[in-house]
Amino acid sequence: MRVTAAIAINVFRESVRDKVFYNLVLFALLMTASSYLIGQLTAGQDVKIIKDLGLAATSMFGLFIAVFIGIGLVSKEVERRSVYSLVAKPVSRAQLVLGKYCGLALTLGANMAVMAIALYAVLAYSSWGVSAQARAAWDAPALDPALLKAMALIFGELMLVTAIALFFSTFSSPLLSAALTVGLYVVGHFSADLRNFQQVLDSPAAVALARGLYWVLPNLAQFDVKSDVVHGVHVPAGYLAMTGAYAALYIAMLLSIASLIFSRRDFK
Amino acid sequence: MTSRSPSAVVATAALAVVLLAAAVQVQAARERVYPPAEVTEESLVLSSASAVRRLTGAYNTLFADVYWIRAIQYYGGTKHKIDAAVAGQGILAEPPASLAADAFPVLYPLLDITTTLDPRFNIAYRFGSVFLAEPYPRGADRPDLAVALLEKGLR
Repeated sequence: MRVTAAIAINVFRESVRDKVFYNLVLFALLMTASSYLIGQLTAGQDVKIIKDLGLAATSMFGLFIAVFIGIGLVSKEVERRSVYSLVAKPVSRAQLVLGKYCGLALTLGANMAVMAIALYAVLAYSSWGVSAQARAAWDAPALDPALLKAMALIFGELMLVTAIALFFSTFSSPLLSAALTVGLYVVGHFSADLRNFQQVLDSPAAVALARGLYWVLPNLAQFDVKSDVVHGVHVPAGYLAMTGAYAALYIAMLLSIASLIFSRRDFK
Repeated sequence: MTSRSPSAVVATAALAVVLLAAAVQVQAARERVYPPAEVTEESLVLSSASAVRRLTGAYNTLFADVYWIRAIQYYGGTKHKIDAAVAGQGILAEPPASLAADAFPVLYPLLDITTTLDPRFNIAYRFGSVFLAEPYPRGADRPDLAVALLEKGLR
């Protein structure tokens, strides 16, 4: 446990040194500039658009961090040969993989916490002094706590994407891992189409194959409640819990395979 | 060779400013000699709402906002153009009939894409149908399309 925590904290430190958190400056600039510009461009719906933009930017920035740091977590250690000194220490390879994963999770969590605060600050600013009549036209209040639900599910999705990236990075080159991870991300958002394949296919075997793929591939579309939250549609706690449990199980599966592959690798 | 003296920094900054200014001047000169083509017609590259929905994937609602802003800007901009044409002809002049047939050709497609990307975007149905139903020159004079949009909203 202490070993895993030590590795995780070092991954966090490394990401701070790699200036990962500079993306927050970009996020803050984007949100401030857009809150001003959108007010000029649209008629009365600026709070909704700022919410859409803030949630979309949170998930996109997080995706970039998850993919591009996730793919380097293990492969960079191997490439730089710093893994030799690590495996010579009393650290099991599973602990190493888990520690690396938790470190990036910590980085992403800290990043998203700051983004959430920034989004609420911009929303507070743009809803300042808006008349009660104009507020009545909004689907949800500006400082809606439900936004945190959407943020929590985005975090769950990013955790899953990180696990996918880490999984690929234990046996593949960084470039290929990035391509595969992004590919799975896209597939994960469209996998619902696989479920309804019987509408376009006649062959029962092909339908069964598509159905099977639908259940096996990571279903990322279920983490997307941005639209519901922005329109004030209630997202039940049970939905959050079940989606979170799905993410936890899938991540555990990926990490156990990743540590198995990594522990079988021979470093020469 | 590494140079850490302040004069080197100042010299580099000055050189960068001069080079950037020169690039801007060359671009301006090129635009004077070969003026860029003016984009006058509002066009819609992707007219299929479901295709846009596929392309935007997990960011549907964000793109719905983009298309909503485009629809508002398109309505306002075209109306501005018609008003200017009317003002040019004198106070009592009729709006130019040449525009009347189809003054807002891409307004409905823009609103259709907006509401397909974000079916719960109530304001887009409400304001959009008003823009469509208003008689020319205040709107597109297409009550049929306005009704179609509102019926889409009811589904």
